Amino acid sequence: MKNILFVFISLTTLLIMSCEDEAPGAYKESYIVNALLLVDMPISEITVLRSLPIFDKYNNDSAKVKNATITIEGDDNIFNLKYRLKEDGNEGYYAEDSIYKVKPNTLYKIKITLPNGNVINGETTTPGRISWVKKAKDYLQYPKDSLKLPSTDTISWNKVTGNDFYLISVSCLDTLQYGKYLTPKTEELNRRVYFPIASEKRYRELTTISPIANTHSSVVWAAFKWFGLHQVKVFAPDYNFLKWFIQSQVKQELDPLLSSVQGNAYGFFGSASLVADTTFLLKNQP
Amino acid sequence: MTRILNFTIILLFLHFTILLSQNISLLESNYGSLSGIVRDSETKETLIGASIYLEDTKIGARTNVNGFYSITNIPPKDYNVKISFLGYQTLNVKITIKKGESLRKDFELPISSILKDAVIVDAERDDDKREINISKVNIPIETIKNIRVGGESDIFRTLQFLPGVLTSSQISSGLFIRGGSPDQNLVLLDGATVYNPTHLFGFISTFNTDAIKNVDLIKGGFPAEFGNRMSAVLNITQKDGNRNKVDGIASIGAISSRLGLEGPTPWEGGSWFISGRRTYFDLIKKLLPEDPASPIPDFGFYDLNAKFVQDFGINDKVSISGFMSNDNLDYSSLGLNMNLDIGNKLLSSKWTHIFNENLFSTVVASYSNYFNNFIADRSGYGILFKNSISDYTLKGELEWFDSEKFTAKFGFETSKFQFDYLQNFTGSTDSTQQGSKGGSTNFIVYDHQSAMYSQLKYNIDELLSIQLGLRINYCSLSNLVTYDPRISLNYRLDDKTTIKASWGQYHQNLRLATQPDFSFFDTWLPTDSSVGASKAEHYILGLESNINKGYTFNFDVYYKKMDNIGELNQNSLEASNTKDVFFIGNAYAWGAEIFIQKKFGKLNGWAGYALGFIRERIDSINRGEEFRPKYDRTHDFKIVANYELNEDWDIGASFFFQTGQSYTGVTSRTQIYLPDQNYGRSKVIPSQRYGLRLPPSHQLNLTASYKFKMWGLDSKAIIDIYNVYSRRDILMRYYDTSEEDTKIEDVRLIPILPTISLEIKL
Repeated sequence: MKNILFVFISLTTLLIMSCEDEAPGAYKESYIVNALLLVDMPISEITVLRSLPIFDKYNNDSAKVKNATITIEGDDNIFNLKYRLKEDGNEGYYAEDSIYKVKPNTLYKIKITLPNGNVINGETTTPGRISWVKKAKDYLQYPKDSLKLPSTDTISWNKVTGNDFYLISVSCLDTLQYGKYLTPKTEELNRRVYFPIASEKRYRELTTISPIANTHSSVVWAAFKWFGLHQVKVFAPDYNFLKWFIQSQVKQELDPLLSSVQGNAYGFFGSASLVADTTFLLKNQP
Repeated sequence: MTRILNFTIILLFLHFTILLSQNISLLESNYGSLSGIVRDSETKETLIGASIYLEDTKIGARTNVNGFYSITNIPPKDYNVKISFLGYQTLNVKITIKKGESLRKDFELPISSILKDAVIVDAERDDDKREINISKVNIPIETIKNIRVGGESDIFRTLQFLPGVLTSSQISSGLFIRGGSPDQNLVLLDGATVYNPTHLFGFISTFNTDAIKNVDLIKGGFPAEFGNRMSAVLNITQKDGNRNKVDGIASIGAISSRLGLEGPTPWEGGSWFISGRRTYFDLIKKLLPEDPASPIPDFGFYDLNAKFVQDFGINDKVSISGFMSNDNLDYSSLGLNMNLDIGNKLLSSKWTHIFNENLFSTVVASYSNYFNNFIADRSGYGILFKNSISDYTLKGELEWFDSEKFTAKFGFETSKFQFDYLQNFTGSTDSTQQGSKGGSTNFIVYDHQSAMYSQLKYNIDELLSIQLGLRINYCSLSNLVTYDPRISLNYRLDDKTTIKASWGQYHQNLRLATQPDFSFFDTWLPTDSSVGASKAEHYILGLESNINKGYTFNFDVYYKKMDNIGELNQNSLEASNTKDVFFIGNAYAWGAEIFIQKKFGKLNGWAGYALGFIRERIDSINRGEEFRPKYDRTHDFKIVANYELNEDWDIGASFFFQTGQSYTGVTSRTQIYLPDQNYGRSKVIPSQRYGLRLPPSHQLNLTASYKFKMWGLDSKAIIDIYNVYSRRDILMRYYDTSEEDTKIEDVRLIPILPTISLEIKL
């Protein structure tokens, strides 16, 4: 009897001690900086977000920090940034000097002072300019054999000194209209390219971005979610932007090693030069 | 200071060796000796660990891994020699030892037709309590065959039922032993290292149980004869084959079918064995209707074991062992074509020579290769991986049976490693530039690693034995010499109970880059000048007792300190040396294990409980704060039981209950955007790394086998029920933040899986 009791107590103890932990609900505030300088463009759309409790309904508006003090120093200038909501719907911190264009191969430093007094710092050296060698064709024909999908074109660009990795971005500019971009124009509406995607948001995401360690790429059909008018961009990113890209695409948990800002925050202060072009993806069975 | 200490240890060690040999040589002259080989009487397979004792004395020995024994310094007179081995009938032979005579006597033991308890108790009583086998577990191959997953018996799955042996999940075969990761375990097959012992991306091991004769696992404190690993040794010996007649075994299971054949060579004193296993999903798939838009991937694996053994006289034996395994996955649809090809190739030859009753030698020359190749193409954008490790090793060992009091082993090991790395993420895989730059890596690294060791065992008196060892390692790539002193003690409290203790240092010059959950692209890397060798220190105290009716009881407490260990840097885009691939840090583990085992009898199996703690500290992870790794499980209770109902029916069960796996919680969530993205990606902010626990893991498996005759052949039908009460353990927990409301999602493992398999003895 004693033995049975001993075994019972031991097993019960084991069971209790092996119990799972409850899912955490305790909220701890973090700040996330999204600051990208684009060569030959004004300083714009820098955002600072406050992380929100995990089990509250997520609302991006309430995450936005609109009253931080942000300055960017570089190219012998100090730029003060102000929070703005633009007419096109874009918002964020913009340089008061909207004429100034970010220079290539130049060091810039950011200082963000949060309303609670926390200071976040970062710096980036902008890459050199990038240029096209071969743009995508004006019209690309999606292959009829949608299983094999051989490539029919390539794009290429000049190597930027110091850059081994580039990011190719493909954005659908009009998910509704198709025929109006053809010559002659038609009334035909746009539609999706068939490809199974699980997540609703990724299904609706207009832009796909992929890395490439090369200065040319075949046209990868999986980059297109819709037919019709697209914008193709190639970024030459600095290392901070490249790390943040990995954070965005690969890891679900924010990783301090992929951030490039200091001061108890996640995020990046990075830069890139870019080239952009438009192309039109023809349906395989018009 | 460290160098002075190292030299002091070496000097003391040599001094001790010389002193002992001088003292012992004085004892020798007026005595005789007995030596030989112990075999199975039917198949003539050599038996590992058989005991040979002179009755009414305390003089005896055990056979080594080659079946050889030696008893020296025997006072001349008539003796009754008792030869016993678990599962075999005990043999009693009268011999006369004469002064100065070296008697060579080989014994053959008949297998016990009914494994009655009496036989077992007899064998256990003769067990040598002075064997210093701390933390060593031997599992009978019959028990291994009774533990199955999806109808497949498997060595690694069986080892996972030992206390203190953990996996990252139920679908992983990687063994985490006392806080050490799978790459810290030395896996030997007939003396040659196997670098990727798993199939099915880690689900089952590559070792076909039909081809295996003996499995020893040393969970820590292993002697100096084993090196270049920090945690444990899994020493697997393949069957030699039947020297009397050709026979075989065929089986059909749910996952694979196996065929094994063995027989004598045309020359006397030789045998061969060949065994193959293959999956047939690829054959079944051809019968299924296929949707071209959602094709089922082609997947299959096979493995092949072969061994050839030939005696040359009574003192020389040569064996050649071969082993191949391969996993292949093919997928093609929606513009994506990919192929994954993973495999091992191993060839080893072993020459054993008996110089005399005192001296036994072994020379092993081996080649072991592990490769993983992956090629993918998406609309002309290609990705290519071709990584491999090739190990050319020559090792030799002298085993010196000086006396009943003193035995020694001396050995060397020299290996040439070739690491091939070809990785191309540039999209253009036709040619990959030499070196490592911008998404492409193409280089070959050579390394020479050599080691010498000496291992001395001295029975100080009837109660106390000591084993001293020193292993000196040299790695050419890092130009590093490391010293591994090791010491073990054995003290007999009484006829049944022994206390054991062990301390040792263990260096490792190889690292495995692997994902925590899946072994898709496991890549071995050498220690180079960018990182030092990994180093562990083991402290073990154990108690072993033979309790009644063939039950053995073991209790071990241990502390293990690990320095310079690596965790894969998954953020790394380019790597030109080993440091770029890993985050480097330290860890320590401590715990206690209780293990009760009954190897044979109508009821056999074991029960064990382990309490263990593992902690890591790596500067680049968890902001440099200490954390427990994912596979840390504080409590680990396991039980395995097999019962022979009658001559036709055997039943078995295995059960485990362990603390839930660790996972990382979160403190909040956010949304991040890349240029032009309208939705972006949601992210979570992690709390303490692996700071939370999933629910406990537990599982019950049942098996029943029925023996019958089919076409006049001995056959066996086996019914297995894996995960009887369908407890679907959680593989991973993640936070689904793709919508505004966060959902906690669990990826669960397989539910109940009943299978039937059939074995026919040819």
